[in-house]
Amino acid sequence: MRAKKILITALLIFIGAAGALFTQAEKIRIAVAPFDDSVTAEGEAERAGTAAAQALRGAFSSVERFFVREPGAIQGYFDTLTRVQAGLAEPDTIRGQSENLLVKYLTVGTVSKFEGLYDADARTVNIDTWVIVHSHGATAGTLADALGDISWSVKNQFTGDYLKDRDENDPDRPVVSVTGFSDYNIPAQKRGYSGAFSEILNGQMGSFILISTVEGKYARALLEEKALEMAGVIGNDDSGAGLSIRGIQYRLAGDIRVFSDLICINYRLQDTSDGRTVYQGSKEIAGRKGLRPAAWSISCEIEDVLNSRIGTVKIGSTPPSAEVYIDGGRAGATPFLGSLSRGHHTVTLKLSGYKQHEEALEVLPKKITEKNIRLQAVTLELMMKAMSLERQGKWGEAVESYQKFIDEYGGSYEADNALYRKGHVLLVNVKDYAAALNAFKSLVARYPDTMTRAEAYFGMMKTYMAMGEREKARETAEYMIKNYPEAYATEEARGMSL
Amino acid sequence: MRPAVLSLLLIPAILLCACKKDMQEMMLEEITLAETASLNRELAALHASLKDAKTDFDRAVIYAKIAGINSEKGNVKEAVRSSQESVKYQPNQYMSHYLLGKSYLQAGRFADAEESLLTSIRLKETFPLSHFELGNTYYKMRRNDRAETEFGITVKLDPRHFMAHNNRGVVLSLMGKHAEAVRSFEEAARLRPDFARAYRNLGVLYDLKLKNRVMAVKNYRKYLDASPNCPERHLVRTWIRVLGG
Repeated sequence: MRAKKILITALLIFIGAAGALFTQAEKIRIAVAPFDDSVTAEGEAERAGTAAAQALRGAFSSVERFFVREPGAIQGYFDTLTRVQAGLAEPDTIRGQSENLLVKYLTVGTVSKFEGLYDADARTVNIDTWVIVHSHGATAGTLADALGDISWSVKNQFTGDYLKDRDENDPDRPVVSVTGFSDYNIPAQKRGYSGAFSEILNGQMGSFILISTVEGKYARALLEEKALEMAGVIGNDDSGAGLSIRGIQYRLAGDIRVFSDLICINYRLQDTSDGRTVYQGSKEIAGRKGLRPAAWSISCEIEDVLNSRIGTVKIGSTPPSAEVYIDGGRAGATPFLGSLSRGHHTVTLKLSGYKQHEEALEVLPKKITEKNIRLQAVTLELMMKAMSLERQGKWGEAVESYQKFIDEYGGSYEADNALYRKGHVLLVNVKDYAAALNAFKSLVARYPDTMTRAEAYFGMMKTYMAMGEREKARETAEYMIKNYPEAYATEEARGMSL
Repeated sequence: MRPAVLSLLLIPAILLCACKKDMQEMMLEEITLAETASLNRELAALHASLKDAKTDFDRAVIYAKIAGINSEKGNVKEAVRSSQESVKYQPNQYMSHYLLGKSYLQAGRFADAEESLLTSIRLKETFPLSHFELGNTYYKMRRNDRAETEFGITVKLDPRHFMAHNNRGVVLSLMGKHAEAVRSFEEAARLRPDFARAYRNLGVLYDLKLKNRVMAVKNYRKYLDASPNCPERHLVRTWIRVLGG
């Protein structure tokens, strides 16, 4: 009976101990490093970093799920060891203390202050990978308010489940780090926003679940900081190889330019393996208060890019300088380089003297989709034939030839003229007003070029007059005067009595 | 029980969404405020003036101005687009090609930049900024000797171009011509005493190449004075400490 009691007691003690150990193992084991307050002179003068770390340590400690290593724990361990060696304490005193030293996560952060506002940013990283697993930051009028916001996030958001999703090693997740933001112009160097902005952006990037953001403090240690710096050159630092070797696939860098009432933030995402810029963007804010919203907006955009929603397109043409239209909208001229959402697009090239070229484009994520297009010159043989037939008074055949030219070179600038001539012949000679009106209307609809549209409206106006629809003719003339006042056709329209 | 658990899960999600919405609103406010900034008002006026432009030359000039402002702002996409327009309307204007070349360089399109800048120089050989940007292009292409030549031409044409002196110092240093590099950096700092980068470069050169600790510390300190909020101030102070400063 007594043996049974002893057995039950031993079992209960074992279960209790196992339970206690299990609870301990489930805790998020964390250490909080003093926050870096050296980013701005004002922040450093207040020595705000130590106070910030203390406040955050308090926030972690107040929540059951965290085990927070005491700031002096390692020093305390060595002190005890010294006491044991001196015979002042029992050797067993130091056994088992590793429990209090072991942590898996480290919280680092920054406090910066300028223009009367505090920016506090905290990031918790996995010590093995330096990937940010939780981050939160705030801008406020007082340090206490900023830290209060971070403490709220620690208590309410930073849970085991939250951590599990972010800390798992997913090889498909793109790895990025924020490094190398600089103050580009002299006013920017005087304000010195780039250091604090880089920290804010670093934290914002670390909040996403589908990308792994390696803490900037670690990534910067992999770069050559003592490098000579050029002026007026974007991307001074080419030392991305160090990042690439350590598995950081992309670096987010940029510059800040300050003007009298405007701050421009320019950023680019670079592939660290070859230094190639895979994405580039700009944000403008009115003042210092916009730094955090801008960082948020940029981080959302970069997350889109990294998660394969955007790709880069490079389009060249022979000859160059052709106008590039993507999905109907003007995008620039060749050689063209731009970013597009992944998937199918239609690219159209237009160049005077050449046939309009249109083709489908499949934009792939994180890749440069390159097209080099040889444009086909327009042969004016058909056009000359149509004009010759018009001169000979063979109206029907002329209209037919103009139409053939339009069918062959429909999108070219030369087809504008063919369509206008066709409308003119139908109006003046064939007197098929409905067909003439159709020709002018399609000219208006198909060609965005201002002068061509003015001429097309002029044709429409004359057709309406011929059809006896004076009101519509007057409306068309008024439209021309309002929208194309400088066009020669408008000048003619002004001279006509309506 | 289930709705209670669900609501507990939903509260942080809603708060997170609300927080995101706040940020979005704040960003929109900032964008709206930024639109009224003097540079953007100037840009809007230039865009509006395109309607009244009577000749292609007028359009080219307006687009060149737009490209110039976008380039200053660092908006590379807009700078490329507007300088391409400028070249389209006035293919024989050196300024348009210069702006296009500069925009290509900012976009990391070095071969395109070289071509445009060489065209600009062909059209006006004595324009120092084309040589400066061509020097920067060659630097990025790792053709230091050519870069040095272009920076040399820039400072000959415009001896007060402090950035060209600085950049010449960088490439001279990379070519192992350290004494000449020091002279270039010093000239940049003399011309523009608040140009912090020149002191930083002098510090690095004295520190790493010339092994002159005293001069390295002196210049690192000058760098911190000229740029008190530079992001690497903590690091630079460590460098000074390591050098015994």
